[in-house]
Parts: sequence; C-alpha cells; structure tokens
Amino acid sequence: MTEYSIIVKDLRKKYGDIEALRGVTFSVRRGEIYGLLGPNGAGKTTTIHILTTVIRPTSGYAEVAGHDVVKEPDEVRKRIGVVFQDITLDLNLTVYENLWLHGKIYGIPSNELKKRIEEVLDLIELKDWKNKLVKNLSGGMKRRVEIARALLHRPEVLFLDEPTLGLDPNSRMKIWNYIKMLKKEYNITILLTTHYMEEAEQLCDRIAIIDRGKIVAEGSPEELKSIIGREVIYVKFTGTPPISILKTLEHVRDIKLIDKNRIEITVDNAPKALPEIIEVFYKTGAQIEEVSYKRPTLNDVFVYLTGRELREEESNFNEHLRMIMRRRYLT
Amino acid sequence: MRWVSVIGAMALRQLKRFFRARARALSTIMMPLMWLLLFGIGFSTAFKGIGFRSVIGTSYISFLVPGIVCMTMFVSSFMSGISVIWDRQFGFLKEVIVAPAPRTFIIIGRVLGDVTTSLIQATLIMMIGVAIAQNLAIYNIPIALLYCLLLGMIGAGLGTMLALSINSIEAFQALVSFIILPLNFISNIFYPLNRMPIWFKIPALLNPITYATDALRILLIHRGAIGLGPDALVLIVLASIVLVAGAYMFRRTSIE
Ligand SMILES: Nc1ncnc2c1ncn2[C@@H]1O[C@H](COP(=O)(O)OP(=O)(O)O)[C@@H](O)[C@H]1O
Ligand SMILES: [Mg+2]
Repeated sequence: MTEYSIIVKDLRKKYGDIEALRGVTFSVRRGEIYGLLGPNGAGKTTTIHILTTVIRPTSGYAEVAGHDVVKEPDEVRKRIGVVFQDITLDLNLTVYENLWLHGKIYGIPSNELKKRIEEVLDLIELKDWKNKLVKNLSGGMKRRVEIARALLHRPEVLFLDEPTLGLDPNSRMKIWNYIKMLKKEYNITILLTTHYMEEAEQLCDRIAIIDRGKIVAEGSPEELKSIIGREVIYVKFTGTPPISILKTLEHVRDIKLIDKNRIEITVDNAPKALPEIIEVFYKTGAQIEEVSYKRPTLNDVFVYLTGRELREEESNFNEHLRMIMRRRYLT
Repeated sequence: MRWVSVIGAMALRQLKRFFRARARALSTIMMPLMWLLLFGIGFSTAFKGIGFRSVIGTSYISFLVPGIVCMTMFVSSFMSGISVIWDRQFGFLKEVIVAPAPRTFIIIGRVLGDVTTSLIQATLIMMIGVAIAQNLAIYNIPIALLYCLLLGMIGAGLGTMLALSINSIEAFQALVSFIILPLNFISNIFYPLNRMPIWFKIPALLNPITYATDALRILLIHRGAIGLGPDALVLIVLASIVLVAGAYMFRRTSIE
C-alpha cells in the first residue's frame, strides 16, 4: 500500500493533430479529494478517460490504486467507480434495475447486492424512486443514481467528471453534501473535475489548475490563492488621487485608475496596506467615499496564470445548448 | 466463475428493454406477418390448382410457414444489433467498458437476450402459421426452435458486428434494408431449393437462412433438400465463427 492512490507522470494524448494532454503530472493521496479545475477543452475528461482505462494515453505513465492503467486495466477497473461527464445509465430501466445490473456486472453476489442497493439508495435519498424508469428522473436525480451506482462495488477510488454540470443550485448543493459525506464516512479517494471554482473550493483538499492540456498550478485552495499573493483594494474618491505617492508605499504592487473617481490598488498585504493608503489620501486632501477589498478567487488565480478567464458565461451557454440537445434526444 | 451471472444479467436487460419498447417489437413482427398473410394466402389462392402440390408436395402456405418463421428469426435478431449503437449514443456502453467483467460474457449475454426476444417473435409467427396452414407437424416445433436459435445467434452476431463497425443509427437502418431484402429472396424461403437454377442455388447455399429453413421444412412438412444433420452442422459452425468474431470485435471496441 503506497501513500498515493493515483500517480500520473507526463501523460500525453493526441487526437490526430489535437494535443489534448501535453504532459500532465500529478499525484493524489489516499483518502484525499483532488480536483482538476479548468475551462472547457482543458483536457479534464481526457485525463479521466485515461485513468479509468476507457482510452489509452499516447505516452506517459498512470497508475490507479497501485495498478498501471495500460498494463493492468482489469485490476484498475475492479477498484474504481466512475461517474462520467455524460449520463451512462440505461434510461429504459428503473433505478433499481440499473443498480442491480451494475452489481451483477461487477460480480456482487445476489443477497449482498440487495443489501447494498438499499444502502446506496438511502445515501442518495432516492428510495421512493427506485421503481421509476430512469428516463423519467430529473437531471439531478440521474446524477445521484450514477453516484450511487459508482459506489455499489465499494471502489477504492472514485472518479467524478463534472458531477454537477448543468444542474440547478439545489441539486448541486445536494451532490456536494454527498461528496463531503463520502469523504467523512468512507475515506474513499476522489478525483473530481470541474470548471466551477466554487465547487473546487468547497470540496477539494487539493486542486490542480489545468489549461490547454497542461497543469499550470497545484495546491490547496489557500495555497493557490497565495500564488497571486495579492489582494485588491478599491477606493472611490473625489478630488485628485495621489497616485505617485501611493506607488511608493511598501505593500502596494500595482495601481489602476478604473474611472475618474475609482481606483484599483493591488497590494500584497491588505491589513497593513489599508491604513497607509487611507492616510495618503487624507494627507493629500482627496476625499475617500468608499473602500472595499476583495480576496483573490480561484478565477483570479486562473487569470493570473493564463491570462484568460475560466469563462463561466461561455461554458454555461454551451451547457445550455447541450442540455437542449440531450433533452431532444432523450424524449 | 462469478462472471457467469453477467451473461444472465445482460440477457435479462435486453429482454426488459424489448418488452418496454412494444411499438418496436410490433413493427418487426409486422413484416413477416404481412408476408405470411397477404403474400402467402394471396399467392396460393390466386394460383390454386396450377400444380404447386406436384412440385412441393404440400400447399404453398404450408411450404411458406417454415421460411417466414426463419425470416422472422433472422431479421429480428439481426436488427437487435442496433442496440449497441443506441448504447453508444446514450452512454451505457461506457458503463460496460469500464466494468471488470470480461467483455466476451457481456456480448454473449446480449446476444442470448436478443436471440430470446427474436425467438418469442418467431414462435408467435409459427403459431399463426400453424393455425392457417393446419397440416404442420406440431410435435416437431421444439426441435425446430432449436434450429431457429442457431440462426438467431448468427443473425444477432452479424447485426452486432455491423453495429460495432458503423456507429450510426441511420447508416445501420439503411444497410439493413439494403441487406435484408436480397438475403430473404436469395434463399429457399419462397421457392424450393431443388427447382433453382445453379446460378441461384450457389448464393442461396451461402445464406444461413437457407439451412434453417430447410431444417424447419423437414421437421414441419417433411420436405427438404439438404438434411437435418448437414443443416445443423452448417448452422453450428457459422454460429461459432460469428460469435467468436463478434466477441473479438466487442473486446476491442473503444469510445474514442
Ligand atoms: N474523441 C476526440 N477526438 C478529437 N478531439 C477530442 C476528442 N475528445 C476530446 N478532444 C479534444 O481534446 C481537448 C480536450 O478535451 P476534453 O478532455 O474533453 O476537455 P474538458 O473535459 O476539460 O472539457 C479538446 O480540445 C477537445 O476538443
Ligand atoms: Mg469534460
């Protein structure tokens, strides 16, 4: 038993000319929730697919639960549970039948299977729905069934590819709670991907920020934010801002005039910098009307590292399209 | 072997899906029913007394029933291969692909389930045939169904292989209508093998439906051209080849 449940070294994947992964390296500790945070097309799903033995890498090494994903895929398969980005339930079977079929395919003996199905149905609070056809369930419920199914064979490592993609806030909260509970009660190792920064921040012990097939930073949410090492202070004022004097202050790193009476001051230690800034304004006779200050978010970290946004708006739009397409297909 | 239960579970799944899509089941059984009722009865009444009996030794409708039963069996099991494409499009194939169960067992389960649904349809057609033809040797029906089972395995195996290699519902349906019609006509379903010219007989003898139909004729109306033994041999060999090839293809399938 090693300390790590997942070890990934210089993983590369090419689809024709497209380089989906350009040398990805990371390790996930046993019992940890590890997040891959990145925008659409970053390579999250490709990474999950390789680690779950669905596709083979072009080069590089990956090990899950102590087994090489390329050389011993069956050993890996026995030890993992997977919730893919898109629904993989049989829509024409009931919730119970889906779980039962999964149990059979994973070789769980019948009496044991019955017990475990009740157990996971309890966990995801869908007991009353067990005899409903999956196609009649809401998106959030389908997701919950998939999580239940992935846990049925008691995997060592659970993969969740964008577990709350396209769900309403309510369902999202529910799923977050289940994931937190899993960590507390089952001590399972979880690798999840997301492009929602709150999700990564809420759930993950450690996060790797991935962009264009490469990991650009890794650490706990706090560590990642401290990469920026900066906080931003906004001052609304009347009069002439003392820009040249502000620039000389010890903790001030950057100054930007937003419009003629608002200024954005980037500092590396807001609690210390604030009194100094206020004093400078006071001394030069400019009037402060409002002061606010913002801690960096993971999105800021992403912007800082890549020069681009995580682009929630755009991806929300794509998701929306996708949902419409799916709905059309499924009815 | 704990994986053996995978076969039963997958077979049951195919059955459940079949019974939940009754409209589809009804539409696959409509075609052979039309052939049997409209063509069979129409043809034999229109040409009544012209001497069919002297050629085939029985009424045309009795001659036709075994052929239409085999047609039902083959077409329906071949079409069931399409479920692989549905599973790919709706994601369920991924659930199977990440499972540790040997894929050979998964595919065998699928094929068994699909063949069972086809067998149900063929039995229905057989019962209707028995009712209208009246002089069939009913006591041989169980053995006849065994030949149907073999034919179904060939059909389901071929259908699955086609589905695995094209991945598009539209293309599959287009190809099916392109393949099925000639396959039904270049066989002994509608005409006796021993009255065929040689250029027709050779392709008909390459068609698995011919052997099943021949066996069913021997069993049900006591007329055949090949023999129960050779028919069984050909069907068993073909079914084995198709299933091994199908399992090989399914093992290598990916979702890239
Ligand atoms: N099957 C495929 N064929 C070709 N390109 C692909 C395929 N799957 C993914 N890609 C490309 O690889 C890149 C990474 O995709 P993906 O791993 O799905 O990203 P993410 O899950 O982070 O959104 C994207 O540019 C995507 O277009
Ligand atoms: Mg993805």
